[in-house]
Amino acid sequence: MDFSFTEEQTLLEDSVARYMQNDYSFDDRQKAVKSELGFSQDNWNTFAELGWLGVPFDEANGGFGGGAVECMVMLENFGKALVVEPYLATVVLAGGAINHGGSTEQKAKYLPGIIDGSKQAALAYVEPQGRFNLADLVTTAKAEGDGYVLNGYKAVVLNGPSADLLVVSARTSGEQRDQKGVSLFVVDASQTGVTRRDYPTVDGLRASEITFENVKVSADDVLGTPGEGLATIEQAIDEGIMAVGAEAVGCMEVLYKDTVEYCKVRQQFGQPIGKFQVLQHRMVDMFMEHEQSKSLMYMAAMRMDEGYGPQAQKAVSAFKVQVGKSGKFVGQNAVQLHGGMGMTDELNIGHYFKRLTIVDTLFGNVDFHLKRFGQL
Amino acid sequence: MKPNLSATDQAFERQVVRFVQRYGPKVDESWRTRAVQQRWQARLTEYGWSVPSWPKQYGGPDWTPTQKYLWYRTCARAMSGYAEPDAIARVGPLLIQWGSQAQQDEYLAEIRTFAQQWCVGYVEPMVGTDLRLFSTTVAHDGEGWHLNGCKVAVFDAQYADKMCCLVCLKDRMSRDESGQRFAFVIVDMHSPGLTLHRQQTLDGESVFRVEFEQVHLAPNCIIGPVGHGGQHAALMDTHLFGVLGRSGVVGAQLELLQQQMRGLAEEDELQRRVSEAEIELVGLEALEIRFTDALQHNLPMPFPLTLLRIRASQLEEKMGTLLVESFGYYALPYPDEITSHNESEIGPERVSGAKAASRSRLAQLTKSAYMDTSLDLQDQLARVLKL
Repeated sequence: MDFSFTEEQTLLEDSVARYMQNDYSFDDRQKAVKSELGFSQDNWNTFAELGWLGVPFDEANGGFGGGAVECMVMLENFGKALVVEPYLATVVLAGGAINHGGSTEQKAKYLPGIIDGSKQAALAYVEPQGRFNLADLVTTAKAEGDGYVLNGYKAVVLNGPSADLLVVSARTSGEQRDQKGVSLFVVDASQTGVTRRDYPTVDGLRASEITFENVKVSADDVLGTPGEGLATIEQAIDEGIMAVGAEAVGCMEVLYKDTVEYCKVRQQFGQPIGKFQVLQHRMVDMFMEHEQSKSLMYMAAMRMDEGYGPQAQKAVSAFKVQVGKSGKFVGQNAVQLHGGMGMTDELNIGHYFKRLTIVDTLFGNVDFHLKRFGQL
Repeated sequence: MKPNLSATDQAFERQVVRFVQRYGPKVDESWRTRAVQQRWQARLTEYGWSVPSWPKQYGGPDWTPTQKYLWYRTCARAMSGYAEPDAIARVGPLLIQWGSQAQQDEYLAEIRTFAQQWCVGYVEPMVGTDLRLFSTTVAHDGEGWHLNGCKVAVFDAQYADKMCCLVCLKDRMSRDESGQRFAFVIVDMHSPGLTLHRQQTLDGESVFRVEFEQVHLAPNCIIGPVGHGGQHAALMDTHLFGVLGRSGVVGAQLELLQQQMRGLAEEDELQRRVSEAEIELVGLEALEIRFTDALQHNLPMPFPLTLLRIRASQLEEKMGTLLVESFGYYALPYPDEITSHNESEIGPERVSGAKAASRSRLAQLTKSAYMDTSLDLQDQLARVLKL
């Protein structure tokens, strides 16, 4: 039992934390959100230069060889600064799917572009009817000649607008919700037959609805064994949960601290509102929710690093349930305690609240993971 | 970062589990039985494990924080209702830090070997945790110290030889404006003028109201420098037993709950709430482990200890509630001394789970309402966090 970081992990944390404090202001973030791209290309280039985009990948592919703890250390600090650069979509989700499902050749082909920042990517795994069931797919890939032809529709693809590469789940056999018969394809986003409808999301990111119409994919671009892709998506999604969960823990810390500060300054009836016991109890609860989420985050990250399997999955679901509940509690109460001002776009409070709300939905909400936890 | 215990700690845990299985109360035994307590205490003394929280030079086993945690968690988990005696958890550390050499010589060895039973007199009627309202008083009348007043909610008073009692001190040397100062004093429970009155809790257990009328105290009855009673009380509240490792209690509750659930069909809603509580238990364990890890490596506390107390209480209450609900109609039987004397357990084994189950069902009822003063503790945490 040991909660201490290695020297490398500490260095990584210091480097990310320092960058976020000195070079990632809330105002700059808001400018990036309103820009055409939706994030800052300069920041992305810096992330690449600092080696952050290679953190989860093997050294053989030019990465850092990090695991869940490294990801956690980074993303918690991303959360504190509400980072909008598409690290989750490109590195964790799409990069993770290629890393876990891909052959040596496929990794060598795609990962270096992600690591050096030249390629943006997205994981297209959601369908309108499927909600959180990763196997509920009506998009099909039919074998034709020495390749496949993709037809279907993918919903709310995070980072879709910027993605050069799409990792797409589609059914190569079986019925709509079968566990078997799910395959993963790497598709060039500019290919004929791929059409996007782009839009912003409430938490300041970008996403797309993507239609695939007779899109030809070569057999070389199937990740892993055809029909066995579900396990790969599941692992990438669980890593995605660790990433957004860590972000949420970072968000909660900021909200708790900001709320405490605000309640010390804001006066009502001749005293700081923080003197009121009702508000104190709320803040104590916010503190406890954050600490509990953080503890479960550590446990889940350590389990993931021990090896991916049912024990790790169970820890991840427990963490996701906690983050969903705590995030909602901390977010809503931070807004509430800031009063009407908390409702405006001027304060950063509301933006954290929005991110926390979205994090609960991403990759399965409290109800979904409660059920998964019970079944594992 | 590593989530698992080291090989040494794993071996230690196995040893502890074996010890508890062998010498703790069996399923059909109760902690309230003196013989059960004495068997346990004799083995603890023999192993040198009776005072885990004391420094080595006073007879402590010199366990690491992780080992202490494993000990507490195992005891909490395996032995429903077990509590480290107040003498060891609270009085001992107080004497070690503040007691005179003479007091230490007189009492510590007796406490360590269970030769002497102690209780703690702390709570007073209508006082709660506000020290300023305490009114049990010790005064010097020229010939000696006399104690007057009343303490309530005193556990184990019926067995105790001594009481460690928080009092206001009125003496000629007092200089502060109210003329009052706080101190802990040692009271002989067999003194004339001291009377015991049994109070029954919701689950049929006993606590006592102890009244003092001109109780004469020994000359060296006061522990430590006068006027630090508040500080001493705070010290008593920092003992780890009953705070660290309480996930063990909740774990035992969960096990009982899962046992109950196996007999129930079509209880999806309850099942969902059980899963929710189970995740909170994982969270509590994670908090405990983080805290222990900081103690183990001499790092700053990641959060105040009070947080663990609040969370453990809340979760025991939640599990208690779920258990009471899972009992269904078997939440009703109330085994009193008359009807349960020499009788078998009420209800079939399948629903009652184990022997002595209706007693433990009642305990769950009490837990569901009040494990600890968690609202007071929230105030306390608010103060610690400087909100």
